[in-house]
Amino acid sequence: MLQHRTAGERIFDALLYALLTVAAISTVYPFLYLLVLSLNETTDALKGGLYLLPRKFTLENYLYVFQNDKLVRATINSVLRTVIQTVLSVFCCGMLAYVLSRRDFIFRKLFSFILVITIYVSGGLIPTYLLIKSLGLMNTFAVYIVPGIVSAFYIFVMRTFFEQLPEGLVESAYIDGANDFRIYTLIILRISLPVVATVALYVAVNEWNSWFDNYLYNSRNEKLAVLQYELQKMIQTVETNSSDSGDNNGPRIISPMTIKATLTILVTLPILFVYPFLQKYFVKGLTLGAMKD
Amino acid sequence: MKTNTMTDMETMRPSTNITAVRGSRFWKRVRKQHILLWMSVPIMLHLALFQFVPLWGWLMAFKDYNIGQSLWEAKWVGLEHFRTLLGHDDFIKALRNNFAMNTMQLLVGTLSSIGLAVVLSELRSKTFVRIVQTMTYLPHFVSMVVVANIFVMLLSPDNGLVNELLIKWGWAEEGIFFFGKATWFWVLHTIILSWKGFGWGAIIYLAAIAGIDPSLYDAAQVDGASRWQRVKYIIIPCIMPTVILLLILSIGNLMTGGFESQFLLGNVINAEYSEVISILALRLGLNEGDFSFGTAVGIFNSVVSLTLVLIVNAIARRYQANLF
Repeated sequence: MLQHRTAGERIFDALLYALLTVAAISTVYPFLYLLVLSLNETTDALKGGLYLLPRKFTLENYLYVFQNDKLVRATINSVLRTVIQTVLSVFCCGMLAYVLSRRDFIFRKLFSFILVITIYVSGGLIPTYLLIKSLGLMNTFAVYIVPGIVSAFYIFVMRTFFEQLPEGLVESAYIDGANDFRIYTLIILRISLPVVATVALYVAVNEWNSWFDNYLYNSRNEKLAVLQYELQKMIQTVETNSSDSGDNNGPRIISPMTIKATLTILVTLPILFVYPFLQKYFVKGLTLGAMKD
Repeated sequence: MKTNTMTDMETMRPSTNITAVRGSRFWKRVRKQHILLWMSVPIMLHLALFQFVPLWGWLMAFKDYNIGQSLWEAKWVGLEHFRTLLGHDDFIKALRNNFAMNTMQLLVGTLSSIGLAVVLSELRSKTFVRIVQTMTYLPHFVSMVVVANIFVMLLSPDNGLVNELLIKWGWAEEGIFFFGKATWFWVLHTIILSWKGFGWGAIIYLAAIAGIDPSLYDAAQVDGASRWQRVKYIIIPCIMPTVILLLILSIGNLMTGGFESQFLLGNVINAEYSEVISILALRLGLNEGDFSFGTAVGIFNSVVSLTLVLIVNAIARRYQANLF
């Protein structure tokens, strides 16, 4: 539908492009600014005036972070919890989703009803805290994994997908002598890549970004800290005392400002790498989620 | 109880004693589906443990519970904790903060998402649209910790970029401590959360716009409608049902939702305007050890949200039934 465009239309278009460019820059610039800070020499960065490019380029901030045992351990913890939880959660949620997608399953209605309840009712902060405590999960790595394995929302998303698969698939597998567990692991999971990828990404982003369970349950054991929690601690301490840096084992002066910037960039990088490629899955996941009700 | 009609008819025909058959048929099905049961039971037990056992803790709110004591031994106090709660000064403030911040964020967030979606849908260059989308989604995937950190740094009174520019351009004498001005917190919070979510929020409106019947545009063109008129008289009215539905669905959060953003952005100075109900539960319940009181706060939270959700669902079902 190409036709002659009037001057008014052109101005309108130009305005829209300008508006969007401003919107896009305003979302990305803060990240760029921190990147510039993190790549600039510390004492120089404190003088200000850094906008688009580092003035005195250096990687010392990154080296500092990578030499800091605490931060390295936090990175390992973050990666571990993300990987383990993603695999476990997708497998377990998918397993229940498969069972519930079987129309002849004997407790289909009952179990679905129980799941719906969990979406709306929860014990709340303190009863959950006491439960975790009495289960002996305080100050353990398991507290990152165990409580969060099952989520009704993911189960419903996966069930919706499994229900759309042809029914003959399961029946022919039965005839070939497979049992339900084998059908689930060998057939259903493999042909359901879109929904598995969607849920996996949701879980992974969620795990990578969480810090509150660390704050609540594991704040006494520094060895179990995750990256986001280290960052969170920095926001709340650095603002008040900007000269506190316990392990300054060298002539280098590193200010909390550049370290914060560096850590923020490092925490964001994995997501930056992953998400443009997987955007379509996220969007699909959103629409799947929207259909739930 | 509705059961599978096919098997129902097959098994019932030769029998006269329905209950006996139902009983044996139940166990027959359990045996037949034992693998499905093995697959589901551990997960249901997990749910029971982590979702339903904590509900037991709700009893605490009706008792005077102390740490170390067993829940059974604690003394019953009835609704006393709820009564103090409703008269508690901090609670009233927290409720006000919750309501104000959620309302502001809902309005600003929705409007900015709609605006972005409308503008994106008006552009011809698909590459440009995709680039803008990719860029504006980004903050959605980044943790609230990162977002809070970014804004705390940008708005920092010393070395913060915003203050640096304000001073450089002569708009400020010295660095302004943005998060130190309690009354600014609601506005800052709204801006930050909208910044985080507006690109992501636009997806659903874009889908709604994509679903508009193209013949409407053609008709408008015949009538000589301008681009702006097209937006005003076609796009906006057509996405209104979606907008209303999403607004209705978020009402459940209005009074009580939120925690992470306020917790991370708030500080001692702006607490009066940043402390929301969940933070209050954390502070009084865990940090100050008043478990019963903290649990009462949590229950209030759940009950209010659930009530709002149920009311809203009932209304939505009546008036917007076609959307569900």
